[in-house]
Amino acid sequence: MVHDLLSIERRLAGPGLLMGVGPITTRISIKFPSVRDDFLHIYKNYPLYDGPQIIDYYLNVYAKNLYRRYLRPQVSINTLMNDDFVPLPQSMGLLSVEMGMNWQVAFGCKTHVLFHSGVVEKNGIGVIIPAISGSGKSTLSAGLAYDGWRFFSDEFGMLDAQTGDLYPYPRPVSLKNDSIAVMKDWVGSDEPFSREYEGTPKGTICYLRPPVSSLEKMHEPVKPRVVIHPIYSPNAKSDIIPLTETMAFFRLVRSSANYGDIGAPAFRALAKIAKECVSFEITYSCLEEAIRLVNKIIDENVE
Amino acid sequence: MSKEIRPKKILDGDHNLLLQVLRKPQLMGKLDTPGWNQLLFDAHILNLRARLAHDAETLGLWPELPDKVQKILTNAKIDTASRQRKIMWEMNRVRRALYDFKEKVILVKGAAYIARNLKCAEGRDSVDLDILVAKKHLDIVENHLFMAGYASQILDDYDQQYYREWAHELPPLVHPSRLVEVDVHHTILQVTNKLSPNIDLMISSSVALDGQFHTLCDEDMLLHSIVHQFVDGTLKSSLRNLLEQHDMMGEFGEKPAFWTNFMDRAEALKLSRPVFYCLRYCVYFLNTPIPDDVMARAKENAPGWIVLKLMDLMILRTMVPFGVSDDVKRSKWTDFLSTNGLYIRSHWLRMPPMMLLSHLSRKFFRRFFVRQT
Repeated sequence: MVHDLLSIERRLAGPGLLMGVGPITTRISIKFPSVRDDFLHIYKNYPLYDGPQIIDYYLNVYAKNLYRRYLRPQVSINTLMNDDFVPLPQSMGLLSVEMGMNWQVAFGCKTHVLFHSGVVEKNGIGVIIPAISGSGKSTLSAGLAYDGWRFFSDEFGMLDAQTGDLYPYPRPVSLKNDSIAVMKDWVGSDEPFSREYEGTPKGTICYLRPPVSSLEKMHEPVKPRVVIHPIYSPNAKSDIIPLTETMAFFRLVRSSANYGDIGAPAFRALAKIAKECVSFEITYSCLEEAIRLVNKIIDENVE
Repeated sequence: MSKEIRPKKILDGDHNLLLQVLRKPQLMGKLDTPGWNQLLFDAHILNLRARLAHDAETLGLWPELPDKVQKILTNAKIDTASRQRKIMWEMNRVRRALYDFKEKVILVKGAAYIARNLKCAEGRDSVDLDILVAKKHLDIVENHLFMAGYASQILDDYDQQYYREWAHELPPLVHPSRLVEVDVHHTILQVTNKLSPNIDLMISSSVALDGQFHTLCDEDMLLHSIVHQFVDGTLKSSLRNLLEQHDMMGEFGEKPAFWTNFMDRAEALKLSRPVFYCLRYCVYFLNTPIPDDVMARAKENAPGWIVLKLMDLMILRTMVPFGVSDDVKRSKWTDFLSTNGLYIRSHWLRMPPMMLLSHLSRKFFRRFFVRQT
């Protein structure tokens, strides 16, 4: 899509820019020029809408007052969804934007069963990678994405409970600390990365834009076939452990953010995945090893 | 002249799309994309999206709505249904905790509407479970709940004391594994409120739902909602509460004796003034069908024209928020003054001036001297 950059910038600064990520349309307005630059860099290849669109979420990134705008700049956000985010220094503005968008999806989306997981696809095989923070799911999902897989998400698996399809929600990958250098090395170019944000509560954070080929197919769903629970441990011996159907079910429930809200349809959808997909836990000590294990699982268990 | 039931159009309610759609949900079939954005935005701010979903479904309009709109409304619908389910489950847990307690436990507000399957419960977002028991039973009920694992959320000594001495409820309780707030009331307004009604009368007229749980009778249920909104509550963005009264009037009003009983009851409980406000604004915002003689009787309890003018000015500016959608240009300043005017009013009614002064100053200074942990 070709857009007039000036008009994009103006819309983002003023009434709000309409941007689509997967099934979700957000109207974003950002009052800080430096945060706008960061935002437009990392969301460079995402679809923008000129004409009217029905809007899912509104995100307003602003300064509480003139003091916080010019003298000691601090970024506040309003998601219109009972948020209570601590303002961040202007230099970390993009973190606020990302937190706000995560919050809106995590608490607003009930039409899809949400997993706290990465999702990738290759040859029509959908892989769910559920895990808690720090287990390396973002790195693994991004690593696969820049190794020929289609990237769906590193944070939100979205499952249509009726059809059993996974939907892409390809937001930028949030990389932390050591994984930043690993991924820069893996991708081989600095262009798709954001600046590195140092001194956050989670250490250094850096965002990585998914491959353009994944963004171009952000509306194409896939059937889940494999569930892989990764455990990253720097000194561990790599290992693959199959999970029983029961265990697979309960671990999916535990990783779902809105299972309880959706109720019966979510129960049936997760039971179906536990029954029809193969589920494994893998332990690994580096990205190459993890990717080798994923490919091994696919080769030995699917088709 | 100013005591006409319909206030003059200070702010033209007819320009607000959400109000139009609430009055006439069929309009949803004719909206374009900007129209939907306006409607969905305001409905989100006022927590009424699930209500729109319900209206569209009842009228058979659902299949005509754009896919995207169906998705957005479905989010709200699932959310509301899940909260209602949580409230019903919390009722079940409270029932279990109070197994030994043989006196009346009266469900009020959202829980009562859900349990009695009233129209106003449909698509209504309830967050807390509210129950009412006689004051003399408060200690025993609280103890039962503590024994079942509930814990008080208020840890500050002044707040604890304030609740116990003056409030109409215990400090809110929460079970740590479910996190739904349970409010145990012993009356419907703060003890010091000028309009605090005779609660014994309300408790004795309550109707049994099943063995232990009761609800207030129809008239009192409506009165409680009115009191909650027009005497005690914040009026800002409270269209949802007005809508609940509108629904109740529609549903209860079908019984022949309802209106007479209701107006008599309001007099007996000395709540005719808030009832006047409720009828006035229900008609204004939602075109509620109310019999003429009831209107005439309500007008006898209207305030003087200066007060009425002020209330109109403030209510018409706060009931529907300052959204993206209004065609009418509104001033942020008058909106601000109105909201705060109504806040001061609700406190003025709540306690005598000296008490209010000491309470507010205490709350104010605490900000600076007590560091929150």
